[in-house]
This record gives sequence, structure tokens and C-alpha cells, in this order.
Amino acid sequence: MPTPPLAVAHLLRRAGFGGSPAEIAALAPLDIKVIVDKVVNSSFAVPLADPPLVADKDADYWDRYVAMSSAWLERMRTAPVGPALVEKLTLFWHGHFCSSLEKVGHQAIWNQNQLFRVMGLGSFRDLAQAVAVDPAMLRYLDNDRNTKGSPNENWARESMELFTLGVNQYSQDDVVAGAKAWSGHGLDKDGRYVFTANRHDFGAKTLFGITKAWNGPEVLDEITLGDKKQTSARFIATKLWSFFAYPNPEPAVIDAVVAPYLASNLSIAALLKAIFLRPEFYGPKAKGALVRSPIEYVVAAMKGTGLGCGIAHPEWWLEGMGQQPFYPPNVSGWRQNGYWISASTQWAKTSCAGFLRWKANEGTSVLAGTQALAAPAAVRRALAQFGVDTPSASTVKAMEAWLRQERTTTKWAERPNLIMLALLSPDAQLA
Amino acid sequence: MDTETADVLAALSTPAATDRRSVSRRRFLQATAMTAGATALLPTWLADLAEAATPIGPGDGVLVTVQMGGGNDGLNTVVPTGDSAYYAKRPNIAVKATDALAIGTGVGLHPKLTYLKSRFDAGQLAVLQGVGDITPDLSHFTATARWMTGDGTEGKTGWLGRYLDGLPGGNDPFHAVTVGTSVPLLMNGATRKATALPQQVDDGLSTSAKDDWVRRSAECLRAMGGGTTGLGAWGDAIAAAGRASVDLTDKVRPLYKAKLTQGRLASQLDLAARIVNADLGVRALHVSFGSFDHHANLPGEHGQRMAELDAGLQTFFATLAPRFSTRVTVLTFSEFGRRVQANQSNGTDHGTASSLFALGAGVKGGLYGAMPSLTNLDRSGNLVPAVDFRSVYATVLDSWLRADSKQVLGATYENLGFVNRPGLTSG
Repeated sequence: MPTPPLAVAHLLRRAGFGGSPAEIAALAPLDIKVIVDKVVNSSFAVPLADPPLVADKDADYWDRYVAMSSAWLERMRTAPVGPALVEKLTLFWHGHFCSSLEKVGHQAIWNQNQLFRVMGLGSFRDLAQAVAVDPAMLRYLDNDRNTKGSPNENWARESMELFTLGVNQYSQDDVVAGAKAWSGHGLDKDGRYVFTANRHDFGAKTLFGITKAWNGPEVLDEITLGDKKQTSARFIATKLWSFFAYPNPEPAVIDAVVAPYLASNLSIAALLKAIFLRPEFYGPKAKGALVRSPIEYVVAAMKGTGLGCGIAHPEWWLEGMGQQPFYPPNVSGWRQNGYWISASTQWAKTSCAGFLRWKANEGTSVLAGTQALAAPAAVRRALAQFGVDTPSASTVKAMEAWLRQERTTTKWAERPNLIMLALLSPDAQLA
Repeated sequence: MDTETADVLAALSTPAATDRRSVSRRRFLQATAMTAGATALLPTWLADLAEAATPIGPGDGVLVTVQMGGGNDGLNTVVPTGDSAYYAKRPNIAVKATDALAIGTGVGLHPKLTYLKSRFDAGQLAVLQGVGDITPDLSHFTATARWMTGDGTEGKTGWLGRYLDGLPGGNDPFHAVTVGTSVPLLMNGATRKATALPQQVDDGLSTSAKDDWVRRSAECLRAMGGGTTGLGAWGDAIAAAGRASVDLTDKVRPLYKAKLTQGRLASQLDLAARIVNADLGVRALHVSFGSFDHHANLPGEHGQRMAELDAGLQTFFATLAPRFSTRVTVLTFSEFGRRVQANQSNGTDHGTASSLFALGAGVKGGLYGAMPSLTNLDRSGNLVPAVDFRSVYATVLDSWLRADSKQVLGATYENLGFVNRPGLTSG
């Protein structure tokens, strides 16, 4: 059964960074199950080419940052169906298993990003185990300093609270025992993971009421595969649902998507497919339920204008919008929706859109033909350029009134400002 | 493209690009560990806004909250130099008694807090010891939420937000301002919330711009936020924020005329002081910095944060215009203090009670609360708070902001008496 183009467009916005008209037209004749299999495709879970500057320790700190930021955002901008979800999911994991360049070197944080790309669609248990011994995480949450005798609780606590179980699902005693279990899992002098037996506490610890000689990885297995399995599965499913569909999902919805996840050995790909096949994902509650994060917004702006990172310079605008890649604000990552809305972020978006309008006007043919269209058609064409397929009446009214006025005076300003105003419409700021 | 167009495009795009490159780079580097703690230069700039919005009344005090995110180690901030248990439990990370800046018998400030020490000596720094949550939570996020709501919940409104709700008169975007990109729970009320101001505003879109085509774009952006959008609550909120950004552009632009002082906290507090000086009617300001989550390498990292705090506060009071110098109280807070016993990584894990500072000419300087016992600890090895953090809020609300703390906090808490309100009207 064919799929309504609006549903395809919605899926490609949420499960990626927006689909082109050609991508939407190509998928719409297909059944939704077939489409979802194309969108969620583990064969695209492969690393990006490493930007050479990342490894160049003699290079400028900022230049190295821009190199890796641009490499990632450029991939988001250009990724077709399939790879697009891999990048969207990498962004999710980056905001979930947080580490920051503030505390971790360029190479380590880039390697962690590649880890999310390669393992993000696989088993959550495997991903969590890999993150636990990832050098960036070992450094970021201090487990590289966690040794027998006087353990460091940072990783033990946050890995339970923020990464696998959620608040109130563990006790302070579990944190203390968990820290002992993870002691000795650290870094060697070259910054590679190493388990140092004489720094590990091999004694008995009581964790979740079970007393034994717990070692760190066994704690994660207990959480993801043992008695805490249901709790952990619901925690991850809720967080993914909130990121892709809408916050605060109904328990029944989570029940429905958790079942195939548990049945598939904690496959994130299976969980995402279940999410993208739920009617609620396409329902009225999902529409307008998510504000585009700054990274999503800038990528959408680059897609719509056809400008790459080298011209659009996302790194100039993202801080003011509140989201710098590789630089989450703290270990809990970025929040969503209201977190992105303020006069402050609107100024940053105005600066960004104001800059891009000139670059697009000078260097591209974006919206070049709109001057020949009547105002209503020109406005709709401009909004569609940025993925707005069903614009609000208030946006259309304001932009049409503006365009009519513009056309009576300074005609040259029409095209660049049409680009800017479409980008600043509330419609284009929603996911 | 005609000549006029080319000129306009050149003027608008090229300088912005050049400026952006240096600004982004500088701000980014400032925010990284590489340059953290760089000493702030003293500003010479004073705001001279010609047009005041709704000036604060002669009896109105202004509150500035400084959030120290991540859980500040209170014991290395206000150091119990006379307590041997402190040195026994922190053999590698304790602040030496000879280094601490003595503010009483057996108690001293971290050596980097030289400006605060001078204000203490002038009788304008209240050191609030042993302040914590009576039902402590060692999660950053739960604890932060509890400190921000101040009503014993992790609910949707913050204590300063509810204070805003109760201010007389209409909703004014300048009643409360937070520096940054999003409004913290602290300043979210049921009906009102703070305005977030960035550390940089480029041209913006102004309805009073010189060029008519800019004015028209500004009017269009306003119109998109003129009512309900049909896009849902988030769409409405975005549209309203877009409209607000246009309406506020002309008012805030003068604030950014001179370069802000460098430093992660100093730049925010510089801007905060300019906002006060502009007399836009602001009653509450919020800034935040961090991280204080020093599970490892505490002495160096924490020392840098202390230097940033001290420099930031010095910048703030140096920037404040003389006529406002007696009208602002600064209050620091953090979601929790840290474990008494150091860990093996020369850091400290999550704890409970900590020390707070209240600073200003309207503060009765001295030591308040009590340093908790370092040996009689709770079962996690943490301090037992001597003072409920909401007593601090109640004191500020009732004595400084002249609000009703019972209404805002939902219960009555002890007034700690560190506010010296007569200082307010003398300015």
C-alpha cells in the first residue's frame, strides 16, 4: 500500500534531517514497512573518513574542532535515506552518552562519535559495554581515576542514572558498590583502555541486593539483561521515543515498542523500526511536538540553501543557539523543546538566517524563480524549500503581506529576505 | 544587481563573517579548559542608555543569582582551617591553613577569593555555612531541580519565577533576565518567565532600522508571532520569542556597544551589571558557570573556578554604576557540596551541605549558619546540613526583595538576618 507523501516527509524529517522532494516522491509509492526498512538500515552504520586535522596535534585547537564539527554536519547535510538516520542517531547518542571536548581530547571525542555511528543501531548492551571502556568516557567521567581503596563514583552513578536506568532506580549503596566494581578500568599512558588488576577491587560487593565479586561489565549486563532489563528497556525506549516522536509517551506506546526490542536481544534498529511503524508516530500528537535542535536547524538551513559548512559556517551560529557539537553542557546532555526557545536563541537564528540569505543569494539559484510567481505561490515555494509542507495560516499571511509590500518598493531585496523569513518562520523551526 | 544592492550586500555580509570568525574562536577558547581561569580585565565601561524602560522604584532591590553548576566543594571554598578532621580526610587536596584567607577563628576563604575577602573585611559579604537540602539527593539533576523550585518538589516553576508571578503591574520582559540561551527552571513562573539575553547580539531585526526593507522584514517576523499559529504550543512559543527578539532589539543593543570583559563568568556578570545600569526595571538576574563536578584533580580545577568567581564578582561591582552600587545583592548557589573524604583521584564525590555567599552593600557581613561536624556524618559520609537552603531564599525574599516568602516557598523558613536593607535606599 502506498504511503501518503506527508507521512514520508514527516518520517524523513524525524528519522533524518529532512527529505528532498525527489526522495519523498521515490518512497511514497512503497508500503510503510518497506520505507522504514530503507530508513533504518544497519549496513550504513560505517565510520566517516577521519578529518586529517583531528589527529594533527600541532594544528590549532579551534581549527581541529571546526574540522570535526564540519565533517559531521556536512555528512548530516548530504546523507541520503539510510545514512541520514545513522547520523541522527549518532546525534542522539552523543546527547545521551555524553562526553565533552572540554575535558577530552579531539581524537578521543571523535573516536567516540565514530563508535556511536558504527554501534548505535546494534545491541544496546553491546553499545553500553563499548561506551564503558571508551577512552573519552573513561576520561570524561573519571573512571580512569577509579581505583581500589577509594573509588570514584562519577561513572558508576551517571551510568545508572542517565545512561541505562533513570533516576530513583538505584540507591546510593548501589553507586558505592558500582564504583568498586568499575575500579581498575582505566587508561594506559597512551590513552587506550586497560584493565589493571592491582587497581581493581576484587572483593565482594552488594549491588541491587546481590552480593558477589562484581566486576564492572557484569554490572551493565545485570542492568541490561538481568532483573533490571524491563526498567532499562523502558528507559531507553522512552528516551528514543521522546527524541524522535514526542515527549512523555503513553505507557501503552512504550509497551508496544519495548516488546520487539526485548525480543531482538536489545536491538536499537528493531526498537526504532517499531517506533517508526506506530500510528502515534504519525498522529496529531506528534505534529509540532518537537522543536528542531540548533544542529538540526542549521543542517536544515544548509540543506534548503544548498550551502555547505565551508560557506555557512555552522560553528559561528551554534553556540548562540545553545548547542555546540562535541560540547554538551553537562553529562545529562541537551534537553529539548522549551530549552531551545528564547529571545536569545532567536537573535542567534536571525544572525544565521541573515548571513545565509546573502550567501544563498550570491552563490546559489535557490528560489531564483520566485520573483515570477504570485505572492501566495512564492511564499509557499519558499517555505517548502525548508521542508515546511503545511505552513500555518499566520505565517503565510505575514509573509504574503510582506512580499506584496516588498514588491512595490525595493524589488532586489525580495529573494534574500524571502529566504531569511522562511528560515525564521516558526514552521521551519519545528521538527 | 545595482550598485546600491552590491553595497548593501557587502556591508552586511563581509564584516559579519570576519567578526564572527574571531568571536566564535575567542569565545570557544575561553570556554575550554585550555584558557579557563584567565584573569579578567577590569572594565571601564559604564552603560549610558539614554532611554530607560520602566526604572525600578527607589525602594526596590535587585537580586543576582550565580549558579555554580556541578556541585561546588564547600569545604574547599570556605575552609575549616581549625578542624583537624578536614586535614585528616583530605590529605592531598586540603587548602592549607596558612594559604586560606582567614575570616574568623578556624575558618578561611579559598586563597583565590581575594576580592571576596576584601568585601568580607568591609562587612559586605555574608558567608552562609552548612547550607543544604534537608532531604539531600546526590543526583545533579534532581538536586538542581530542588534548589531551583525551592518548594520541595522537582516541579515546573522556580522560586524566582513565582516571585515574578507576584510582582505588581503587567508582565515586563525585563523584570527578570538570564544570561545565556535558555531560561532556567529557577526563573520560570506559572504566568511569567525571565528573558534570556545572549552574550552577543549582531544586527538583529529592528522595526526602527534605517533601511525600509530591514524594517519590513522585522515587521514580518513580528507578525508571525502576533497570535496563535495553529502549530501547537511550541510553534506559538517560537513565534512569540521571534516577536520578542524584534521588540527587544533596540532596547538591548546599546548594552553590547562596548566589548564584554573576557572570562566565562566575568563576561556574563559584566553584561548583568550593564543591564542593571540601564535601569530597565530588572529585579532578578541569573548567570551560571561551571563545572564544579570535581571528582578528580580538585585543587587545580577548583582553584581556577574560584579565581573565575572572584574575578567575575569584582567585574560586576566595578561595572555597576555608583547609583546602583547599594541596590544589588549577589547570591551564589550550587546543587550540593561534596564528600568530606577525598577520593583516590584527588577529587571529591557528590555530597550535601555547602557554603553560599551573599554579597553587596545591602548585606550584613559575617558568618551565618554553622559549619557541620566533619566527623558526625550521614550514612553516605556526607555533612548533615545546619541550614535549610530555603531559609536563604526566605531571607532574600522577605528582607531584600520585599516579597512574601511563605507564598513563594509554600512554607515559613527562618530568616537568617544577613540582609541590611537600609543600605538600599541610601544609594
